[in-house]
Amino acid sequence: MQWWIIVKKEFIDLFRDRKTWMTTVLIPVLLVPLLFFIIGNAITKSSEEASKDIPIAIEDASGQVQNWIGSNSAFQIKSGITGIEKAVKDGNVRLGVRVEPAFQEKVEKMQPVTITLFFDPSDNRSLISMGVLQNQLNMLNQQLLGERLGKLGIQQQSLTPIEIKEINLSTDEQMAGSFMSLIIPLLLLMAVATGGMPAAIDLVAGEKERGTLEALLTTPASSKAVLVAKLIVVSTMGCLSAIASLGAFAFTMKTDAFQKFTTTGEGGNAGGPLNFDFFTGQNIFYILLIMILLGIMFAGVQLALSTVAKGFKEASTYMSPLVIVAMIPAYLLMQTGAKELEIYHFIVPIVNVIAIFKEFIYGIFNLGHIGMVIGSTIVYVGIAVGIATYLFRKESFVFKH
Amino acid sequence: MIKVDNLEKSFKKKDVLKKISFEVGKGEVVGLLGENGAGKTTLLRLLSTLLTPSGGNLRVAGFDTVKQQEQVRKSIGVLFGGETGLYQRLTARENIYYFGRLYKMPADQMEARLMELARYFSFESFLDRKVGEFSRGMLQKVAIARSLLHNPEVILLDEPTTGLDVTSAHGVRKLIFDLKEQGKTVIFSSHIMEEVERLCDRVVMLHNGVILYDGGLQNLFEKEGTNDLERIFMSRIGGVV
Repeated sequence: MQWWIIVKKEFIDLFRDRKTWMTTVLIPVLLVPLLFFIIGNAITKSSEEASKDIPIAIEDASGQVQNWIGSNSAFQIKSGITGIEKAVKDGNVRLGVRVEPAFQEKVEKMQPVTITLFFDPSDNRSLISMGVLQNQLNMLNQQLLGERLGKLGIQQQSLTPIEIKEINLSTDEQMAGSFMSLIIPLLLLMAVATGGMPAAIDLVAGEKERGTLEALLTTPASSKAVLVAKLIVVSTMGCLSAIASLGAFAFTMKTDAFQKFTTTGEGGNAGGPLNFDFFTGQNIFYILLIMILLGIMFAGVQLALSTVAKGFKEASTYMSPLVIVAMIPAYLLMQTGAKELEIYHFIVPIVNVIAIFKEFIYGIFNLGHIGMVIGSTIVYVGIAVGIATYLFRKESFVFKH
Repeated sequence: MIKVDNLEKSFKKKDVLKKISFEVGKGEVVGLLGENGAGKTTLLRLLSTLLTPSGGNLRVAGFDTVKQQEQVRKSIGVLFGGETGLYQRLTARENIYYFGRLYKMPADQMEARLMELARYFSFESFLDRKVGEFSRGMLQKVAIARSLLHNPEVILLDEPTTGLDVTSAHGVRKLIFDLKEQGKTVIFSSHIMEEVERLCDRVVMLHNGVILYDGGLQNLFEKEGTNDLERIFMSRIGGVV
């Protein structure tokens, strides 16, 4: 049981290293809520700010439209501005309105009139303010339309021959799933991929640099026992980081900041109330199993890279692209619905994990797909660990000559 | 105790050791002399099973270093120069116990041996302090204690006094004397001729992967007509005397 002696020692050693714990557990625990809090608040604040005290320039000879807009306290009409286009471009006002000079005359003659709106779509606040202005003008439009129809003796309802009704057939779980299926697998993958990195760097490249690996390999502990122990430690750290991220996410979901984030649409129009109902006992078992396999796979890759690296810095450089490797599949499947997934999605490394998590989150439980994901991931684990073992036994990589 | 027979070691296309042969008997203290890159550290790594020979045979304490690695490792205590091979975040006691457990030593035997070594090296009061706070000399003492914990028959020391102050270096030299008294076999590499003269029964001079001289110091001095080991070494390797 020499591997167990090494595992215990590695954990004691890592536990005393603040940097490792900060990267593995503390950063995900603090970062996830902080991120949603900051983004949620920023979005809400930006939306609120853009909907009130809107500086606007109006060219309206009749004065009728200006009065109508001015009746809404959200607008601050700026007087004395010449050249409204330039004023909007220069940011002196957020919106500009030009009303056709013959407005009053045309309205009376029941002719169409043109109102031109100026805005700057590169400014998010201008876009939001534009929505408020359009609503205000639509109300004027409806009012004028009602007056005209009244003069003609026509009821306004008769102008809407077809009334369209929209019925949402998605369950709350499915609606929430569209957002959750993106964020949860991404969080888990990122955590598993990055959580074990500090340990992997420290346990091989770091030990090489400090000369402790050489001393360790002169003991009766076989190189196989040493590698197995390091694999266990690195994959455990990755899984711990994933659990910490998920816990932080679950906590964040309960906060107001998160609700603001999702209800403003920035969170993918979650629509329904977000919850972890898909976390049934059965799903938790498979999620944990897949996460552990993924953790071992990443640990194998990380230990292989750490073995090849001459030292700490080189190992860090080799490992940084792993973050992108973990992120790409999540983005690739972003637009793919849980029911549109193909067979290959459950076989390609990392993509398969995203795909099966997506199904779980949407309430789909397909044993065939689960089997494919577990089976293929075991093969990838074998390949990653095989490469790590091969490299760890190469003298040229383990010892400095 | 050690038998090196036609030993070869190459890294990629570079031959670091070229068919070298020598034997070391029980209780002998042998000094490995050579310039940087002569093959001293490679030889010690081969003896400690860290490297596999490219050719030839190597036996330590009667065991083959390739086929009987575990037995060889149980028989040797190793200290590589420059690096102490200690875990900075662990205490001296934890570092030593860790290695003791890997040697499958019983707890009571490990504790008794630890206290014996701690007294010998005078670090009893530092046992429960993290080694990251230690001086270079203190680190070296703990590292040597770690390599001697399982009471090995063969001790391999790679430049054990490099970077040490006078007192610490003296302590290491005293240890080698004492190990000799206890009948242990010691092979150590060094650049310090004076140290080799004082401690060794025999020297093995390595140069470009071959042995230039293997034998007793007195023989060498008589043969060369001088007692100046540095002068002899320089003349043998073809350097400016």
